[in-house]
Amino acid sequence: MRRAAYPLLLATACVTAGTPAVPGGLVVRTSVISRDSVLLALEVAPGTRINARLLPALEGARDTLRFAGTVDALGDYFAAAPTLRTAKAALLPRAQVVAGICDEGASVCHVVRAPIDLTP
Amino acid sequence: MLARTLIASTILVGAATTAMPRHGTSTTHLPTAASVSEPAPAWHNDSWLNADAPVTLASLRGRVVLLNFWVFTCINCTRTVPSLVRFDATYRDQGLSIIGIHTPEFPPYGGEHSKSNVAKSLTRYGIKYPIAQDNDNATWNLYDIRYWPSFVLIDKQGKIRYRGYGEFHVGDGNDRLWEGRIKELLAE
Repeated sequence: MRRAAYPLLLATACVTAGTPAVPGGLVVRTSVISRDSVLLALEVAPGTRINARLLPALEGARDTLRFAGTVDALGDYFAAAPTLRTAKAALLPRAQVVAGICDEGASVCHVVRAPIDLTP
Repeated sequence: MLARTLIASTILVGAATTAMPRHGTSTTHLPTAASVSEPAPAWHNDSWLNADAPVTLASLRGRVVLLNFWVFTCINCTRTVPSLVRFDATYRDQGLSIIGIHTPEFPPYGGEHSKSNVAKSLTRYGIKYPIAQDNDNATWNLYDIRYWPSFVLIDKQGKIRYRGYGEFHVGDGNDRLWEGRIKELLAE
């Protein structure tokens, strides 16, 4: 069995420069499912939810792709991690995930932008 | 042998914001006593709905103005709309002007920049007060806003008296808080 040395996707994010961080981040879970494709899944910390009215996006150099997944009864939030299967080429030379995250406690939404660095 | 190799990486993306008020005015969700007031900056949005012409801050002098920063894709925003519609119906004739500042979360591919999409949402939610399209986030940035929905309450002299953020509903504590603030400024 040959185990390929697949790259890891590293992501960092900020909302707005100079804005202090708050609890509840975005988890970008990356699974390499073949030599050429990856599966991205978005998860959030307890107390936050991903807005399903505004599908999270993967902004690549050439295209913008949207995540999809199971939503709650009202169609407001994702009930499970939204996912996106895409060619690794879509992540080159750079890409970022954009998602609307809503905080249950404060009842507010904000945008998370997560640059993705495809590190060999 | 598995044809697929699975490598999972999980990266915690630090995000979001603790909206600390940068001004001396008070803020809900954590309401504090109102303190200093400051002149409200003039917005310059060109595209409006529910208005025949752009609504300027100067034209509202002598009225109490409630700015609502929102976007139709924001659940917390649209859930707050019934309260705002009630405020508009109850207090417009007494001197309240609610101005919606519609600021998209996503780039144009999200559909939030479309005037026709905004118009549909106004019909859906029964919004009759003026709405400015803030597609370049200029007014959002001008007022140093961080969250959807956010609110800025301006007095008759054009000074910011209260700032806040977060969803509220007809009859709940924050609804009563904002209504009390509106009545306070209308009575001045």
